[in-house]
Amino acid sequence: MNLLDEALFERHQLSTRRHFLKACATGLGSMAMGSLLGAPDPKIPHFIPKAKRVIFLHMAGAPSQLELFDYKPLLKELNGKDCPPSLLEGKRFAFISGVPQMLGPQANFSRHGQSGAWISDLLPHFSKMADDVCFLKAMHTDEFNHAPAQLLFYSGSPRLGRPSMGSWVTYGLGSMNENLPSFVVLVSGGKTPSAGKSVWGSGFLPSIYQGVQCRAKGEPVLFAANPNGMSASERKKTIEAINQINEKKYQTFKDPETLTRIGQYEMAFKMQMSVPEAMDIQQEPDYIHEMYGTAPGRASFANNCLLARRLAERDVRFIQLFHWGWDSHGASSGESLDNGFLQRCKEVDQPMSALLKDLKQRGLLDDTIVVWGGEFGRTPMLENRNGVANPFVGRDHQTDAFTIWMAGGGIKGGLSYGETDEIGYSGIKNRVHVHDMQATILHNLGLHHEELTYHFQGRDFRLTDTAGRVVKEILA
Amino acid sequence: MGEIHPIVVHFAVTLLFAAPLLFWLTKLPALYFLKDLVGPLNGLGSGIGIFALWTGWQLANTGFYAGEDFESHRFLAFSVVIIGSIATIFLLFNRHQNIFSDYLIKVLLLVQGVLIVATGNKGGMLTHGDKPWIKTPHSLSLNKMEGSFTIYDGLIQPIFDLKCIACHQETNKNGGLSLVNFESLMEGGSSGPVIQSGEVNQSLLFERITLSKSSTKYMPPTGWPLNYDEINLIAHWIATGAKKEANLIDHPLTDMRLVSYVEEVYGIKNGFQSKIEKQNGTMWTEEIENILKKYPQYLQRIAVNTNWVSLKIDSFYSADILEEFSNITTSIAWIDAGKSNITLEDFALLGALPNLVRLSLDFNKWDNQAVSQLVNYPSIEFLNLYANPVGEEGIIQLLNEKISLNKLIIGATQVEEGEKSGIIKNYPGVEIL
Ligand code: HEC
Repeated sequence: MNLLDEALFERHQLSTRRHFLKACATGLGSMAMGSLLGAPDPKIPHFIPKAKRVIFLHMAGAPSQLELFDYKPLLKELNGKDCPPSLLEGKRFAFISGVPQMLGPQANFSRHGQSGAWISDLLPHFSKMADDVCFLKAMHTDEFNHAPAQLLFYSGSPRLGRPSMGSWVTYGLGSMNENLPSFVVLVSGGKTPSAGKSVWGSGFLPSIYQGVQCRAKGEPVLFAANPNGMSASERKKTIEAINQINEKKYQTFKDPETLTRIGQYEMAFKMQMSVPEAMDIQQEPDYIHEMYGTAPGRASFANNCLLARRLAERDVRFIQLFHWGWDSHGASSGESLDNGFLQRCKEVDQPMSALLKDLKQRGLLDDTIVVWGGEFGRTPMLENRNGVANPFVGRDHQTDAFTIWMAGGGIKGGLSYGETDEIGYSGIKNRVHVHDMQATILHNLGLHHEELTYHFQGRDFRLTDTAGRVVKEILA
Repeated sequence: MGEIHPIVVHFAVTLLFAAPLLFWLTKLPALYFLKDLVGPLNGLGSGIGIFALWTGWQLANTGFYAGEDFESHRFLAFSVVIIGSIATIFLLFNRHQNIFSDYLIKVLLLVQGVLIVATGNKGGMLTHGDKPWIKTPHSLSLNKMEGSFTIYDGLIQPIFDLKCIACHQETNKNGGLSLVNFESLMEGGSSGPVIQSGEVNQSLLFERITLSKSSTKYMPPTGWPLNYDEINLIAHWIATGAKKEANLIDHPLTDMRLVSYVEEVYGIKNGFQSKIEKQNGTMWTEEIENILKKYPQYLQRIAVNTNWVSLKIDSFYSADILEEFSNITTSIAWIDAGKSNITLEDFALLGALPNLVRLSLDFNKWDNQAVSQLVNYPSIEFLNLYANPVGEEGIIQLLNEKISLNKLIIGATQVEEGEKSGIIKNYPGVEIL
């Protein structure tokens, strides 16, 4: 479209009935949005918060709890035996069909810390942190495919269109830092999660609350830097002019998205300075690099962990890390328990432990909730895709039992909460649903999950949908 | 006289319900002759209602009740008495001839009934908590106890009081067992002692409350059965020695479910609880409101339901602003002054800060001398001194004075690793990182 066409199109768009109605409306929504214009927009929590920020370490693809935290000696004995039909009746799997065989733990376990938590030898660094974390061993979810399960995990609904947890949190608490986005996403492992960017999308919330993806390599935020030949002061003037126009437009139409636009221009300008500074891990001393196992200039989970700490220090509210490649079906070497999975463990073990240790020594763990987990768990059975044995060792998706851990921010350390049956197939005690986890995270941030709502299409929506229980038992 | 409020209220309520009921019953020809009783009955009810108002007034003066529920309870109670009195007057006037329309009286009596229910609901909320119709009273009578009270008096006896003593008291000793207090429990029943200290499964009482409900020996045979958590509490108490004086500090609950049950039902926190969670802060005034509005980038109310304020100081702070903040010094509970380069002198401008519980001073230039001055802030629970040039001496001076300290961060200071482990060993009450 050339400029003239664009302008004409714009004009036609403006004169639709919808816009007429909008323009004539007194703009109820506009009053609420007014506060968005000023950059820091702190809102008051419902009750005294235990934590100010969240670092979410998501292992996309769903790591096997049976190789990491949920130790099942009986499964070792049953290894290679046919799965009894009673366990298969009425169950649906993503890939398993016919009668699969049971698969014993593919790692050795021992107990760690004063709490005696079971952790496998695949996580030698992490096992030293046992007393700082709380394991939720009987997590369960409703969805057995990656994309819907990730959506449920982050937006409370398996379908597209809802705001993600980070958006809800920044919507509920506002920003603590006027120079950086409140919700930052860092991705490693080569791919974004299966559910795509919706897992950090703002859904029907104003898009100012959506997560901003930063790259660990090259320019952290694409197109934030000035083009060659444009000076900072010129840029500033340009943005001021654009914002003046947008403000006029806002006065006419009261569309909150215009405010978002204005906010984004302002933020982008500030980010030209603040983001490269925050993302520059070269500034860190050598011992920190050693601790995390970082290699500046590469996109790795280790770099992202260090970045997460730097962002936490700068009071970014919600920091979301995704690490790809945990879908260990055994269909290929990269996605198998005997190869790819071991690699993934190596990639995350040291950095995530370093992150915990580093946050702790700086006093940041006290008001930062760190969560680690995948969107679901894996079966105690060896996967036999379409009834045929896979070339490598792997497990299928499982919704009924998986382990995540949480630490800091008002969560009790050194606790294993919940139990699964003797083969790790189902939670049998203190089960925690994904919605319960969400309610608990919001609770520690000072938000009541039933009161944090947004009115959309005629009804109030909330992150935990119509469910959710704060797991009080794990609160410090 | 305040303590007789509940009983007086129930008299009044009974009469004020009975009178309207009678009013409608006397519409039946068979009961028509009782018609003249309605007025006096309602009058008596209203009279006792006025007395109940007075006893309620006395009760309120004790200071235990305040807040929205209390205000509405009082307002509604007044309305009941006023409507009741008007209805009475009308009824009395109508005794011999119809001066006021029957319809008007019906409406008044109906309103009277509705108001009583509403008043009772609000009153119930004051004593029983937010769901007075379904919650049992003992669950709230113990609200806000500190962690050190005794398990028997605080947790076990209330269960017996609620669910057992109807059949197990001195005047009605079924099975020869009285459960009115510790001594009578220990005397046991006709089968001998019912509690074996430390032996849950050997204790007859435990056996009787955990039998199948269909068993004739199951206790209680009728009425509310014990729930899972109550049974576990009794088991915990027996297992830890069944002593009268045992408390939760010496015998902490280990089962997470019980911990959270006790917290929810009795309001007892087992873990560390910050001062600002226990108290609500100084009154919220217009002055505080205005200063918060003026400096939103510095000050924030910590939560909607508290009066505490948090303060964030960055490196652009000015001494004038800090001095202005000293006007609300008692309200400030959290200060984050990390990377602000704030000096002790400037910090002192904030005033006495008697309720400061969290202080982050990471990445500043506080040395031994400056840090030791922090003893002047009596409430600090969490102190972050990460990356400050403070040494062992300053830290020890601080620790010797500061009993309220719960967590102290001294990473990247001049305290060496060896010194640090020494400090950690010498001050076991404080978590030092
Ligand atoms: C409805 C009345 C009733 C209630 C309520 C009741 N009991 Fe009993 N209880 C009895 C009767 C009757 C006996 C004697 C007959 C028997 O032993 O079954 C008895 C006997 C007992 C005995 C055996 C005493 C002995 O030495 O033989 C114990 C222990 C006991 N009750 C405990 C309890 C406890 C604890 C509760 C409260 C949870 C309770 N009871 C509530 C009626 C009641």
